[in-house]
Amino acid sequence: MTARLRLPRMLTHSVKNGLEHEVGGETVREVLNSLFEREPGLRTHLVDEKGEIRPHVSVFVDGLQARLGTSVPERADIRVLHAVSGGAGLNS
Amino acid sequence: MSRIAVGTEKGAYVVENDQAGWTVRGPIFPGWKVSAFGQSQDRTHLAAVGSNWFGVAIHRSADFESWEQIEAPPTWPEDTGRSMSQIWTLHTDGDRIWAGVAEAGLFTSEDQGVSWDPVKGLNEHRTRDEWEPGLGGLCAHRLLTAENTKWVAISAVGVFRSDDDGVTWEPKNDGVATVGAPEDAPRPEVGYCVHCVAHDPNRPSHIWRQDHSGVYRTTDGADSWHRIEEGLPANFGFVMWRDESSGRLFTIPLEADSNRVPVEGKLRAYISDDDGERWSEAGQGWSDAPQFTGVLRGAFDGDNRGTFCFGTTGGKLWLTSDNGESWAELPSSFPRIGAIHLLT
Repeated sequence: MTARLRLPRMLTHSVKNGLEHEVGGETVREVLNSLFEREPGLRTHLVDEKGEIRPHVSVFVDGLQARLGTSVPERADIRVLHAVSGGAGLNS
Repeated sequence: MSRIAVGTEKGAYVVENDQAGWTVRGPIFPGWKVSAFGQSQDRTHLAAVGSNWFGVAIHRSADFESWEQIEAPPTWPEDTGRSMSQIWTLHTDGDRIWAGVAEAGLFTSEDQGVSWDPVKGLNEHRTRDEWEPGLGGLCAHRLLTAENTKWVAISAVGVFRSDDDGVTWEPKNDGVATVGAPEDAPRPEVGYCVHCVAHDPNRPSHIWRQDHSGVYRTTDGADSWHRIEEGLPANFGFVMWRDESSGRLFTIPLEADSNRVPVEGKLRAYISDDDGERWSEAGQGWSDAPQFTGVLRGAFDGDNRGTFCFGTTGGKLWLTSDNGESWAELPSSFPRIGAIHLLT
């Protein structure tokens, strides 16, 4: 399957090939792994140390919130968004 | 001419002056907390950034204008159960760079900041289960290095020293008061909330320490610590800086842990020219208007040629170019400032 994936603007400095990608994969996990092969710097930003989607990051497939095991239809529209939570600063 | 990199809660900025006055460039990394700057032995600039959404990253630049993110920043292995929330310091030590991070630990790079390896002797220390965070989290925030001897400051754990180039480490906090425990309680091996350390590269066993519990000095490489607080309006704060050319020490006192603002709103740097025996207010130029703001440990930098700059949690910059004799507040305001780096 090939899907269109769009990343949030905040990740501009983390990519070499822009914020929109055509990526293949049967599931969100496979799509993200395909993305990470192309954009290795994104791995640390989208998944945590356990390999799960970060707590304040959301992935939507055709408008519905998805998990790593969610199937990705052909020509799906995938959006990676930062959640409403998580905008507060880190400790200083 | 001064050129100052400012790391804030939301982006980095470059502030510089020329004949036309002060200009501001940025934000660089808009939306990201810029928590530390560094510069490798080959003069490559480094910037550590973080976000509650997207975790941490390190970017490299030859000119401080175009940046490239490294592929893999310091990362905790999954089996540790730890998470990487912030890179607190990037310390160059010859051809090695040390990164102090939260959740507390050290990582090193031998390739100018491109790849990173954990320092297992510290990260898996026998006391690790007893490490507890302070308000700023459980973080390794300062490094001092002198040949094969290294010191790391961890909040709220204490100072550790390695005498074998970072292979093994031992806590070194004798003489430092514990915080949050009765005075007659048994002294723990760890649990000391060090805020900042600075040393004399020519006498590396002489170290000055701004701690949660006060201001201290050691002359034996951290084997023993002694209070040096005469002349200070308060013994709490986050800054400790030693100017290599003059030997002058700088700190910025805050009232107390329960009220982290300057005493009576009088924001002042304090200096000592006698290794901390006595402190006094630094020079002139301070605002008469109340300044109820703070200064964080990474938000003070000097060039060892008489120029020093610090940024406040209220987003203001203060600068001196005559070794602390006269100070001026710069015109712009920024988000909460956590990192200052004088660009040379």
